[in-house]
Amino acid sequence: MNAVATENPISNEQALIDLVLGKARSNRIDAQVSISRQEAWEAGVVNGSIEQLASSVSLKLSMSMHLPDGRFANVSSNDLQEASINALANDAIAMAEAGEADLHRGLPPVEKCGKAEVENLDDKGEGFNTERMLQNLLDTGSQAQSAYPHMIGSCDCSASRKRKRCHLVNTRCVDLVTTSTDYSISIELVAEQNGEKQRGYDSTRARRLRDLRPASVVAEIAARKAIRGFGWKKASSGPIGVVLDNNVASELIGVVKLLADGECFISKRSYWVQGMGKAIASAYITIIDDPLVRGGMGSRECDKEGVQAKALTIVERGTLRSVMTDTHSARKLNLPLTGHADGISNLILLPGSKSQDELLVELGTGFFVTGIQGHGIDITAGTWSKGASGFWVENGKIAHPVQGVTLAGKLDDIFKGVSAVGNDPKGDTDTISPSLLIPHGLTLGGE
Amino acid sequence: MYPTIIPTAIVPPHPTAIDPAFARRLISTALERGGDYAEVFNEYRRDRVISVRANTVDTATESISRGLAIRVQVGAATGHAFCETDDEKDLLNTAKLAAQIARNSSAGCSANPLNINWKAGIVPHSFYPMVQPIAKISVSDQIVILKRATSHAEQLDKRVINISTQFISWERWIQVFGSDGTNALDFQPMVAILIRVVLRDGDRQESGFASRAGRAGMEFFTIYTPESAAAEAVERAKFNFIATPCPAGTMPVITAPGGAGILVHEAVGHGLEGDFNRKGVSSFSGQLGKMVASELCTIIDDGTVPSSSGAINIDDEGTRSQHTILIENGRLLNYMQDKLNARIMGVESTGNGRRQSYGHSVMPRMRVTSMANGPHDPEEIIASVSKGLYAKQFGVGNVEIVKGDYNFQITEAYLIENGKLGRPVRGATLIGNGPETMRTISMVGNDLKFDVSAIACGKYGQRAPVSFGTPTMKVGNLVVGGVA
Repeated sequence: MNAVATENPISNEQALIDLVLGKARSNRIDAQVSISRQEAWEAGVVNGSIEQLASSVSLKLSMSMHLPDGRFANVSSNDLQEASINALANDAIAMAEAGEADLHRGLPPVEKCGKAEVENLDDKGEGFNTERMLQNLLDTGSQAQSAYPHMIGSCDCSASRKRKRCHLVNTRCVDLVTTSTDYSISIELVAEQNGEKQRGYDSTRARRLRDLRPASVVAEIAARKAIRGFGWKKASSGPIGVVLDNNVASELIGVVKLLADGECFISKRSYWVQGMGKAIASAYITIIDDPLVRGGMGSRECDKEGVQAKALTIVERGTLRSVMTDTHSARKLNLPLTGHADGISNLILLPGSKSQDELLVELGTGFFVTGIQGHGIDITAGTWSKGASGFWVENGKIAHPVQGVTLAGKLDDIFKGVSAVGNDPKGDTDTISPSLLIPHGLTLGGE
Repeated sequence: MYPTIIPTAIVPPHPTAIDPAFARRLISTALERGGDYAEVFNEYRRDRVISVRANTVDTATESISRGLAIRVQVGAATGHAFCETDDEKDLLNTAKLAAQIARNSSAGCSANPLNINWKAGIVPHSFYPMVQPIAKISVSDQIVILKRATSHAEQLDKRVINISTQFISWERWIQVFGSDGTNALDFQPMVAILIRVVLRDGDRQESGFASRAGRAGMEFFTIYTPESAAAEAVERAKFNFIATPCPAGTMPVITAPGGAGILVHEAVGHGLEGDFNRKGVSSFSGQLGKMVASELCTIIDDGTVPSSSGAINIDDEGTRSQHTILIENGRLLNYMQDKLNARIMGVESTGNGRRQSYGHSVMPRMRVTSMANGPHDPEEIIASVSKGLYAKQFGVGNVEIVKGDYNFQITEAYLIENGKLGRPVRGATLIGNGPETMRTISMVGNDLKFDVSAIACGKYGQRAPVSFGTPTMKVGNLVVGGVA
């Protein structure tokens, strides 16, 4: 079963674009319309048998209508018959008319729009064969179970492939077509020993099939994660020095999505509102948002307003330099338009020069954190509190696994407390950080 | 909860309904290569969101999503494909794609599409009658509700510097045909208000959030008023100014009634979903009939709570909703099942088979999960703890179901000292282990309360509206993720 190519426009695409923009122009208003088509294929294999096979093609038309005084509305539909879209466009205009004036709203300036050059975002589905991928999952699952026969009780392997085409046009003659692909393989294992169960998980994601890590490598890492937790202990409550591994550090910096978001600045929700131009992190921390990374999971040529993508330095050696904006937040805050109507692209904490082992030696005694759980973040008060798991470290060496504890602190203390940055950034997500050493600022909740 | 079931509710017709004869053709095509079960799921959904920020209309959005999905099941395997057009050729091709799951199977066709006896159609009794139709709620009506919330919040505290509000509504129609004779239709409304306020006092800023949600029309807001949601959001923010840091460490926890349902949802709810137990990977696997909790615990998952955001008339496989007793006086009686996991485990579906949309797979999901009333007086429960934590308001949580470790946020709590509520302490993460927590619940109050906030449960990337409720509970030791 091979997915259908997404190269071409849908059959009535130009007619729908002309309908929407024509209606806007005849009402003397601005509008943007985007039409997207996505094909997806997913498979799941559990304990050596195929359990899920799904394939789909989905279409969507989104439009926004902008009156001259800034009143606007967004609507979308996947019912692409012309009569339905005509009715939807009328609804959008009526919804916009019921709104309130806001001169900060509107389409972006034409000179900011366009497509940046970014490589390796779309392999056009070349070389992908669903039967081969299914066999790969089946083989990987059985290899993982035979490599650790007494330990792995259950093995769940899944894979997906998506290809998307998007055509964006507005009444100021911006006309952009973008395509992209997205592949993933994930493996979840349950290990059992003496009645105790531990879960191990790992995954690989890439924009091109050839850049996926082999499923066998993913399974090996998932198996090691499942097994390394046996014999875990809790730890005593109190202030603690930590090394966050690159997975955990990558999750931690995800908080910047909101802390440096234009709309959160307008709502005064972010505690960084009072930090522009000031030190909000240690001098070891530089965080950029870069949509131009070759094959990056978050890479894009433009955002959903059609604003051309470019890299942005958000934090420079600890100082807050920029906020991520779209047309509305840029005008409202009187800040540069940065092309972030879709949020972050690839949010990256730049690597340092130290290996993870060197960070553990510098830590001496403390907690090496390899997993965090929960949602305990308040971006207004700037507090952070999560479940945590990992390893106790003595004299720079791993001593035993630790589970069933919490870590908590103020984000200001955490960011300012980073005293060393590793050289091991994790690559296949949209938030990428190396391991981090934070000797002070966090409290462990345990026994 | 909602006081009266009104017999003549407004049920708008499914905009893209198909007739049973065509459904039979699709099911026949889907079973061409064999299978145990095939199903046609036909969905139409309209969502609207209006937001008002700083007393000005900020955004207005509407989205329409329609699609027809076909699933074929062979043993534990499911093939799934969907189509978003009315075109007969596309729909029949979709059935062929779903049928591919059976291509390597030696199983015959245990389902016989030519002999399907369709069961009764429309569900006669709705647990969520809609009186003032959502389709007739204008943008202006929604703005009025949001501005009421905004004005009330502004008046409550001079330190308010920003108020952001949202009015969310949706109408969802589902039509389900199954090779087992299922022929079911449901209309599922939802309305909700969300409000976030930010207060500034000197150089300190705090925020507070509140929401209300239910399956009803505009009449929902005459009972759950925007002013009450606004007042709660302001109280949450004000509390943060007076609360001191939460301690860190292990201690007994008492939970207030209502929002502590998040603990039941995470500690035991997910662990009792049928898919995890069929695969044997839950910390509650293999425990049917055994004592898995203290005798004080009776845990129920109920789709029939009137107008609750977690209520369903039928699940997304057309199975009638139920009041399902999962654990009774500590003994595990039932897992939550969809058709496939029930079939493999040799039981009946409990009506828990749900999917976010036609584009998503079906899996067992919760509805309204609760702990039944116990024998204790809430005051007596607090007085029984010499040193511990009283958790009054809650945020979200999650769980790792293999080991059973779960966590949830508290947003308002008080230290308990010598059986009395003492110092207010601010938000933290609490963690515990599900099976251990259930065994150490030692007191259960007689004051069951259901939560009415907007709660969405996430599982494998799918969101489902749910709800929960609890009485006051004495939970035993949990780890508190504070800083003091």
